[in-house]
Amino acid sequence: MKNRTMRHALWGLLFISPWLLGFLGFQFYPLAMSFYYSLTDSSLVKTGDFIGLDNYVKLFSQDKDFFPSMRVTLLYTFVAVPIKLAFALLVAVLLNRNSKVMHVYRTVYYLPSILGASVAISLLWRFLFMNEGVVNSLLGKLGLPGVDWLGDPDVALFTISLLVVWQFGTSMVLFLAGLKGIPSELYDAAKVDGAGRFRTFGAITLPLLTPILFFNLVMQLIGALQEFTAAFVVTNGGPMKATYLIGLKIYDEAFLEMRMGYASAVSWVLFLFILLVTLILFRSSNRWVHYEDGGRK
Amino acid sequence: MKRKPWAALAALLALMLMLAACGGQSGGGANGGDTVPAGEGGASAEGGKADPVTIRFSWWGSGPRHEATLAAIEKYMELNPYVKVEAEYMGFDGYSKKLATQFAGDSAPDLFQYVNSFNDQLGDYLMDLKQAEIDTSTFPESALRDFATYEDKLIFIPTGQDTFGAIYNEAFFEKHGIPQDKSWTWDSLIEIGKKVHETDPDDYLLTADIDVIEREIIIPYVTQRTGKIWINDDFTPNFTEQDLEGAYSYLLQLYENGVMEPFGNSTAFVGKMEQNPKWVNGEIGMLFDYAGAFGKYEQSVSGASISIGPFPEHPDAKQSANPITAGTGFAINDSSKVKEETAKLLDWLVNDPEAAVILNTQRGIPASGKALEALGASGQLKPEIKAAVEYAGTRTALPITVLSDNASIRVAHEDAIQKVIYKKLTPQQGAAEAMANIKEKLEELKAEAR
Repeated sequence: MKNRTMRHALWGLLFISPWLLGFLGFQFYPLAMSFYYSLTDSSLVKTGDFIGLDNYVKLFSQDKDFFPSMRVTLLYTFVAVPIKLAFALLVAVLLNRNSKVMHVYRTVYYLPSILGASVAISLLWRFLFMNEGVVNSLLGKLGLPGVDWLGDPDVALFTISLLVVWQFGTSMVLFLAGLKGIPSELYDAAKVDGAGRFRTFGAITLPLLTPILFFNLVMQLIGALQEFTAAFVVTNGGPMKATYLIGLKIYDEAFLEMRMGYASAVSWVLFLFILLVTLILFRSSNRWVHYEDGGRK
Repeated sequence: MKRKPWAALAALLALMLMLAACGGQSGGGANGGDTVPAGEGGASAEGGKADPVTIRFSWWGSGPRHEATLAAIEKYMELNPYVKVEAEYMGFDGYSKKLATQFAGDSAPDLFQYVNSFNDQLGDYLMDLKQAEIDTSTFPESALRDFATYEDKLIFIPTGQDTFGAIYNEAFFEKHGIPQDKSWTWDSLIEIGKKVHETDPDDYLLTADIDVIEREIIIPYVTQRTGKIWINDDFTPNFTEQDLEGAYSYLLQLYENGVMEPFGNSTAFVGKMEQNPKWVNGEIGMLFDYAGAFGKYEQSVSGASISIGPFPEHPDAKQSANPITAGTGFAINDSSKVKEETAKLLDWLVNDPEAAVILNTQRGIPASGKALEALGASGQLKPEIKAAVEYAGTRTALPITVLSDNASIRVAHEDAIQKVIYKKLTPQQGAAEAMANIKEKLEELKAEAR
């Protein structure tokens, strides 16, 4: 009997071994090594000596960029994630109708997400939002003054956020799936009771969507706290470090200053921070996430 | 039917081990290449019938330089059919980072373009070219000694002599009645630039991204007056806060008088001023860059003539702060397995008359006398670049030392400059912050150098 369970387990391991090996080699090993490096003064080209927690101490006590950079990252997250989710939900609700044309629209709205936050899109963004760019010349045609989208330290972070908001497709698809899963009887009943559109949305749609909303929120928060490409390509952290996200800081430490050990330490602090934020979210979820089956086992 | 999961798992593990072992072996081979002198290169050099050799060659640049270099590679492979050269090219942005990562991963190219500001990070990984069969007699001894020597090793062969110039649009100068042979002072830039912007609000005499502001405006502005190099080799700054404050006030005047395009415009084109639509449309008169970069600026403005004028100087400048540099060149990876063949290719690239004509001035005026002669005889030497280098040669100039050219010091300095431009700090406060930032970086570098 015991032998049999063992055999089953082994077969299971065998079948997932491609993933398992990939995970061990490409994720677990680098993760463990980066933790080790964070305790050393390794440079990009040389493995350094063990220095204990010095990197972490320096990060919190001496590094002038760390806290401003975290601030920018949080600001960015608080701007980009809510707008992105609200927008995704809005579009999902609009597209949640059964007609042939809707399929086309769904695809079209998903397209930006397929393109991703790639370098090409970021370059495009730069050309759209530069001072002589398309956005300002459209504003000009409407008789509005141009905005210094990338050059003004107070605006640049918002411009970067827009680029990410524009890629709302993945969240939208998830919302759409959630919307489809809401039983139509509930809507029928609401109709019979005389609930209006907004009432229905607030009392039925939104509560039943909270599991999806929760999932999207967690995923997007994690993504936003790690954002790199947009800020790197469009503004390279500038002007005046207004878009100097923590991801850029890590990159600069690793590849400009060549301090791999220190960069690893910053990464681990970011990792712990993300973990903390995620745990808090999970904790809070009992209060606002509504599972139809009661959510508990 | 009996299935044996143990056996399957064991087989899989064995397979993995084998793969890992193969990987390890090839890695060992790469290291072994250092110690065993008779590598592939040795075999091919001897007999008439040579074994095929693959050389990886990487460089940075933009369109015209890529085209010229690819053409040279093509020619070399035609002349040496047993050699295959794999080209890896990109812009300057990120180049050193990629190279350092490749060295860390033992996958660096055999031959690559190099600038001596990388010395700190990469100097130890380069082949001593004194031991290679490269004809260095064609180079000025001072160029090899002052620029290409690192810890008594000759670590690269300079490709070109280069210098800053004022690259300008002739039509723009004509439109605003600016004489082409104008020798600029920092003050005359303001005087004329102001008029330009008043005449046509779309036009600006100058544009500069943050790197150019730091490297080609602030530092020369200061060091032309002080007559000293920027950073001492003992890791101390060689200027005062007052010096910086003066330069920052000057910078603000450039913006306030409409001489220089607003800073916000330039932020989208750091390191690629030639893509700035205002430059492309001829609404910017002039910018400062290496004369060797002339090609990309010329190419980006269609149908207009671009030329190079002298770099600005204070009337009482103690030095031009614009030396002729030969800090860029080609280096060979010390752990390359095909050093000998790579050295041959390098020698051909820098010395061969045919190569000189193909590569032209894409990396400045050829540093090799032999190459320069060949290029001159072909009548294809860009007269603008030649004139710029010759002009710089007539001025006294202190060298731009490796430490003065350090990237992280530049970044620390640029932080403060931006705060002054955005009026978060006065020039005086900015100077204090810059001094503190730079000193802090220097301390770090000093500690790391020990």
